Formats: sequence, structure tokens, C-alpha cells
Amino acid sequence: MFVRRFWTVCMRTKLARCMFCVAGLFMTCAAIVAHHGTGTYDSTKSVTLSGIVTEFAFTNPHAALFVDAKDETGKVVSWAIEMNSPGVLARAGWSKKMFKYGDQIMLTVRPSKAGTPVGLINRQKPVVVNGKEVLKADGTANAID
Amino acid sequence: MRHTILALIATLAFCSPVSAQASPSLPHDSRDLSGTWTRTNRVLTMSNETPPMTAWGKAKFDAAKPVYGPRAVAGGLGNDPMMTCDPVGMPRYLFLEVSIYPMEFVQTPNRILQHFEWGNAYRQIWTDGRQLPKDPEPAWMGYSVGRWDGDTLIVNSLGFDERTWLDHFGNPVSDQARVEERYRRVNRDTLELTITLNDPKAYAKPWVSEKKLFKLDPKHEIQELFCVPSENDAFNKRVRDPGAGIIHK
Repeated sequence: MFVRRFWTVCMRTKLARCMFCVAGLFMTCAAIVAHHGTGTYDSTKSVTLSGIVTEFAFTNPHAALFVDAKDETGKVVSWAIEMNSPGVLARAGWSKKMFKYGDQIMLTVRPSKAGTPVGLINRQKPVVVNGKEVLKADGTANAID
Repeated sequence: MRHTILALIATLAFCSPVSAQASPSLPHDSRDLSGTWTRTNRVLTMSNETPPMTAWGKAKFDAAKPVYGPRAVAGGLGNDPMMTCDPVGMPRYLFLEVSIYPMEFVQTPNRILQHFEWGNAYRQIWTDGRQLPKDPEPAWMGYSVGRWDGDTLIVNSLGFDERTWLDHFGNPVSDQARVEERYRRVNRDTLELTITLNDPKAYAKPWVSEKKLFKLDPKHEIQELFCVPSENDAFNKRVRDPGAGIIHK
């Protein structure tokens, strides 16, 4: 509730400074709660992928999303995207039905340091499925069905 | 400027270990710890002051390849027992990630159960007056007895399985370790914990933790979060290993 009210104030005033602080707030808190190790992903880089869902593995202890996305040369690259556990995702309003084979998706990841097409989802960035944003800026999901 | 200050206040309110939601005025039984608790401290081990290690402890520490902290390697190159769904063990369960994996106390007359969401694991703390066994078989959770001293629950444990790590950073713990936990519910919503690790096989002196703070989270029901070996194995092959540059054909 507090975050929502604060967000509303930000939207009204449209102050870049305020927005910057909100982004910093989420980045700080995300860093605190992440459960993916710190050695695999490059937290200084951000890659926005646009492609087709090939599989959503809602598995324990980590869920994973698989997406075929074109790179800058037009070549299709198969990405594997790490997520939290289903329980943690469920608390944020995510569900097993959120993504299915063939969905058009856009999302943002922290890429692997190894340079392989593997990333850690950035849940603070918008996730768009078939043209509809399924994640609000406060990190909760909209129903998409 | 006003908005910058507002944003800073918001940040502190959102992330602060002791938020304004604490309600010390509400009645509570200080000898009843029942409920779901979420830890607020961000340090994922005893404290930031690691004591000197023995030669045995140092060798175990050097053999550990953690995926957290200053020695972190990519997930697929690490050897953290958690990565293969081994039990996390004690006292590491108390150090798991801040805010997302809570624990619950279930209190009965002769026994307190501590239920950890990660791994769907629980631990028994015997409060029926029994003594600690002299030479128990090593166990992932160790063997624990508890007693009340005023409003403080004192839990003493031994008999740990030394295949566990103390924490995410690969610090060691041995089968000679003795752990004392002191829990105190300072108000309805706040639980304090201080841990003392006495492990002469691994450390040259006892290690006293920082004061850990837990917040009561009544709306937070423990969810089923098994580490499922078959699913974890598939995840390692398809995500964790490729993330480390290891490609399975």
C-alpha cells in the first residue's frame, strides 16, 4: 500500500529524481533478497529480450523460462532464464499459467558473465506477454487470463 | 530536495530491519514463540568478523567453492552442497536469504519444532528436560535441547554432520561443533537471536553472532519448497551449467 501510494506521488510529480530513487530502492532490495549466487550473472549488464516462449519450467528450487529471441543479426538464440522458486514467485502473484509455449514475450535479464545465452530475470522490469504487461512496477503480477 | 528526502525516507522504511510496523504495545506471551518469522538482518552468516581457523578449518574452507561472496564462482562451477539438494543443516538454515525464506516455530509442551521453508525442513528442540547426548550420531540438524531462562529460550546443540557448510560463503563447521542459540521475544512482533558457535576443530576461538532480528509475519504461510533433486538436476544442466559456460550436448 505504501509503495503504491509513493508510486502515485511519483507519477503525479514526474520528477526524475524521485523516479531515480524508486529505481534505487528496488535495486537495493532486489540485491538483498536474490537467491541465485553472485558469481554467475553480471549485475552491471542488462539485456532486454523479445521472442517466443518455448517452455516454462515451474520447478523447485528454481523456476526457469526458455525463450527463443533474435539477436542483432537476426539469428534466433535460445535463452535460458533463471527465476526464483515457485513459492517465492507465487507470493509475488506469479503462477504456472503465466507463460505458455508460443507466447510472444519481452523481458529483461542480467546476462551470464560467461557470455552464454543464460540470464537471471529482472523482475523489477516490465514483462510483456502477447502485448500485455504482466508485471507492475511494484513487482506484483496482473492476471493475464 | 523535498522529494529526494521523501524518497530516502521511503527507501529506509521499505528496507529497514525494524520497520514502523512493530507493535510493541500489543499483548503477547514472551514464552510463546509460535508463528512465522522472517529475518531482517542482511548478514548471511554469524557475523562479519570470522574468527581465525584451525588448519582443518582452513583446508575445508579452501576446498569450498561458493557461489556467494568475495570468492563466488559461477553456479555451475561451485560445490555448495545446496546445489545438489543436500540438506542445508544447522545452523545454516538460520542464515538463509533475508526476507524470502521464513521459518515457523510450532511449540508443544515438550518439544519445539522449527520449520524452515527452504527444503521444507524441520528441526526438533527438546524441552522436556532431557540432557544432550554425549556422543550422538552426526545429523544434518544436530541434536538440540532447549530451556527457558526467564523470557529467553536457550537452545544447546551438538552432533552436526560436517558435510554441511556453516553458510553461503563456504565457512566450515565440524562434528565437534557446539551451538548455543538464545531467542528472546522483545515485543509481539520482534524476536532477537544471538548464536554462539564453539567449534575447536574448525576455529581457534568461539564465534559469537551479531544480534539477529526476526519479524513476526502472520500473513506469511510456510509454502512447500522442496529442493527436488530431479528438477534441480535438470535446472543445473539447462541453466546453471550453461550460465557458467558448461554446455551439455
